[in-house]
Amino acid sequence: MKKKTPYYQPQPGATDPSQCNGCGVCMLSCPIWHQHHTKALTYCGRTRALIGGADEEDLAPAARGCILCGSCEPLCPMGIRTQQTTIRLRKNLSARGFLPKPMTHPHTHEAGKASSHIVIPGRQLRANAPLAAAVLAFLGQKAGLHSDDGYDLLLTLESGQELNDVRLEGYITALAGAAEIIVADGLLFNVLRSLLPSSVKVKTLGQALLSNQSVRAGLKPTDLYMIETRAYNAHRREFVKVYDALRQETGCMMNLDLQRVATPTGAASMQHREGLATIISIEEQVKWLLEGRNPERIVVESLDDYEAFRTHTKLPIVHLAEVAKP
Amino acid sequence: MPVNLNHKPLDIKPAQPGVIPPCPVAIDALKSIPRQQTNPSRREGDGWQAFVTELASKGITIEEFKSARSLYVTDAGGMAYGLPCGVLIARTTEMVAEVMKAAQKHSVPVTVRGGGLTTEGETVSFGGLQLDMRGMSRVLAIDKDSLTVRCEAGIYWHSLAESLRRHKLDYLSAPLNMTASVGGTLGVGGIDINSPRLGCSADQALALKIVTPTGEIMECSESENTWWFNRVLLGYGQFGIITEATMRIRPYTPLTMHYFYYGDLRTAMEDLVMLCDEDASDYTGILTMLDRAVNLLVAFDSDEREKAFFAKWRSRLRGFGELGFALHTGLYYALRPWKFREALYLLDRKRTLLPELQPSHHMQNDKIVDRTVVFSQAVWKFWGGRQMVIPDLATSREKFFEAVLRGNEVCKKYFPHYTLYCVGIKLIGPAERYELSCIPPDAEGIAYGCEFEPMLEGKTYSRDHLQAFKNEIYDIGVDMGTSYYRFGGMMKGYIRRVFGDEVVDKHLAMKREVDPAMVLNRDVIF
Repeated sequence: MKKKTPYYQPQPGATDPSQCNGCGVCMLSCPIWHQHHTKALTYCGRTRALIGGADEEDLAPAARGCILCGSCEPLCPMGIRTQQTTIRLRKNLSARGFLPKPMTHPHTHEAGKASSHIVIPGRQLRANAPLAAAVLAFLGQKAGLHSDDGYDLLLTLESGQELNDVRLEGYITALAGAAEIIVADGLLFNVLRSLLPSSVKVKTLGQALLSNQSVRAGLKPTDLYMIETRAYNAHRREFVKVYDALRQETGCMMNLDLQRVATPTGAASMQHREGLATIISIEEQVKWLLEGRNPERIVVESLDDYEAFRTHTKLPIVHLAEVAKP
Repeated sequence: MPVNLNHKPLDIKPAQPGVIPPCPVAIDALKSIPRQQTNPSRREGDGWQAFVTELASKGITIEEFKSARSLYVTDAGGMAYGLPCGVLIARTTEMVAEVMKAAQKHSVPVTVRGGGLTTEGETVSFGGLQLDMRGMSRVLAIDKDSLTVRCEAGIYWHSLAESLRRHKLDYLSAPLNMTASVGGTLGVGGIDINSPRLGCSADQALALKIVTPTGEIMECSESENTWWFNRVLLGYGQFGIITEATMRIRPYTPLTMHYFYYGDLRTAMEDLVMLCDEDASDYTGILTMLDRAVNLLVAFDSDEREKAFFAKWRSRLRGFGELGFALHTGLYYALRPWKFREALYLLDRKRTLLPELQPSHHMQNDKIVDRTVVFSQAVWKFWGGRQMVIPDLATSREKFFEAVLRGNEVCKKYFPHYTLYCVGIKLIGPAERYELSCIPPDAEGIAYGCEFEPMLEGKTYSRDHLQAFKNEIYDIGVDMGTSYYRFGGMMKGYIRRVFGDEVVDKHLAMKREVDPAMVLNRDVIF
C-alpha cells in the first residue's frame, strides 16, 4: 500500500484548525449556509465555536448536518483541510456516543470480469444495466465492472465510525494491480487517490467519459452540466482547468459558483442515500442551481444528481454517457 | 465571605437611560497605551432575563448556549474580545423591531453584526445581545429595466453577486472582501477601487428599510424620511438597523487590468491623484510591496475606455510595465548588493502573489472575470491571519501626500514588511450624510484613503506593539485633522479629538433623542 496519508486523515503540512482566522470565505460556497444562513451549522462556525470555548459535543448537530460535499475544502486561505477535520470531529463524537451509529451495510461481491481497467460504478449505475453497458462501451474493450462498490467503507467513513483496517486493506489490495481505475463515487475516488500507488491511474467517471471526443461534442450551450462535487472540490486545483476548458469548448453552463467551487444537489450524501434526518433540502438546492440559468437539459456525471433533478424538475436529464454524438 | 479579587468592581455607577457613564479609559489616554473597551456598563445584565422572557413570549428565542455565543468572541481584527449574553439570528424586519422595543424597555445593549469585518471591536459584544443580521440574506427583487436590486441587508456582497451574475448583472461597488455584508457596508461607507468614479458603496443605496433604535419600522430614501436615510448611511449603526436595501446595479462586464510599477511612493500617489482628477480609468488604486516597489492598478470595464486611457493618459504615467520595472529594479539592487534580502523578498512576492491576482480560471480573453473573488482570496491568503491590524487615514486631496508619507514612516518603525492600499473616493452624496464619518470634513469633490496593513507573516507581536502602531497612525490623523475609515470601537477616543466637541455633541444629542436607552451599538462611537 502506498505510504501516503489517507484522504480522511489530517494531512501533513495542513494548518491546524485552531489557526482558523474566521474569514468565512469557506461559508460562501457551503450549501448549508446558503439554505440556513446560520454560521453555527457551517465548518467555519464549528471551528470558531471550538476556538471561542465551545465543547465538541455542542457541535454534534452541526457535525451531523454536514453533507461532506467538500465545497469548503478548496477555499480556506489558511490551508485547513476542512473535510478531514469534519470526519475527525464525527469520529470523536461518534466514539463518545454523540452521533448515532449508522446502519450496517455488509459488502457484497457481484460477478464482474477481471480487468486491467476497472470501473467501480456504484450501486445506482450497477443497477442500471443499459447505462452501465453504455459507459463500458465508451471506455473500451479493456474496461470491466468491479465487483465491489465499497459502499460499506464509504458509509463507515462518512458516519465517523472507525474503518475496519482488514476490510480496507483487502479492498485496496484487490485494486492495486490495475492500470486504471474509474470511479463513479466522488468520496471513493478521493479515498482511492490517496491510498493506491501512483502506478494506478485513478479517474472520475466524468473525467474518463470526457476524454472521448464524441461525448464532449454532445454538450451544448443550453446544457447545465452537473459536475460530481466531492471529487471535484477535493481536487479543485487539478480539475478546475479541465472543466474550464470544457466550458470554453462547449459553452455549456456548469454547477460552478463564482469561486469555481462545484455546487452539490446534496443527493450523494449519506443522509439522503440512507434516508437519515437532514438539514439540506434537495429541492431548494435544485431550485438554486437552476435560478437564472434556464437550461434546456441537465447533464449529470452522478446518478444521485440524476435522481435529484428527476424528482424536482420537468427538464430532460441525461447521464454524460448518453450525450455522445455518433 | 471570600473575596474574589479577580472580580473587584470598578467604581463606576451603572448607566441610566440616556446617560453615558464615564469611560474608565480616558479618551485622551496616553499615546501607545491600548484603548480597549472596558466599560462595565456594556455588561449590564439587570434587565437581561426580563428581555429574554419578553421576547420568548413573542416567539423569539435568544440563544444563550456557550456554543452559540462563542462564535462571536471577536471580529476580523482579533484584538478585541468580548462575549454576548445571548445571540439572535435575525430573520425578519418585524423580529428586529420587537428586539429593539424590548431592548429599550429593559436597557439591554444590542450589538449588530454582519460579516464582522471590523478590526477595532466595533461588532464585538461585551454583554447584551449579539444580533446577527446574516439570517436576512435573501435577494428580494432584481429589476433589469431600472437596474436596481432589493435585498435583505445581511447578505454578503459575494452572495448578491452570485445572484446578480445569473442575470448578467453586477453591483456597482463594494469592498474587495467577499464576506462584507451589504448592511454593514452601507452603515460605514464601503470603498472599492472604482470609488474614484462611483463613490462609496453607501452612495449606491436608493432606499432602505430600517428599524429605529426604538423599534419602529421605516422606509427611507432621498425623498422619504430623508433625515433617517442620511443618518443611517455612514451612521455606524447608531441611528438604526438596515434590514433591506434597494441599490443601483449595472450590466456585468469583465475587467481589463493593468499594473504599473513605481520605485517611489510619492510619484505613484501623484499619478493616482491625476487619474482620479481626470477620470482616466474605471478603477484605480495603489498597493505597495516595498517603498521601492509600488503598484498602481488601473482597470477598465470597456475597451473604449481602455483605448482612451492609452491614447491620452498612459504616456503621462511615470510607472513602468512589468519588464521595465524588472530591469530598473534589477539594476538598482545589482548596484546595492547589501540589500539582497529586500530583492529576495520582492522576487518572492512576484513569484507567489502575482499569479494569485491573475489565476487562469478567473481569466477570459485576458480579462478578469471575478475581481472580488480574486482579490478577496489573495487578501485573506497573504494579509489575513488571526490578528489583523489595519489602521488608516482618510484625507482631503491636499493632505493625502503628507498623511500617507508620514504613515509610511510609522509602518517602517514597527514592521519589516507592510502594504499600503490607497484609493480615491468620489463624494456624490449630500454633505449632511458625510458629517462625522470616514469622509473628512474638509474634503471637496473627492477624498482619499490609505490603509496601513502590516504583513504579520506568522510572527507573534504583542498586543501592545500592535496597538502602539495603530495609535501612532491614528495620532497622525489628530495632528493633521483627517478622518478614519476604521471609525469607533477601540479607537473611538480619536473621534472626539479629530472632529471636536461641537460636532460630536451634536450627533450625541441626536443619538440620545432616537435611542433614549442608548442600547443600539452602545459604546461604539459615543
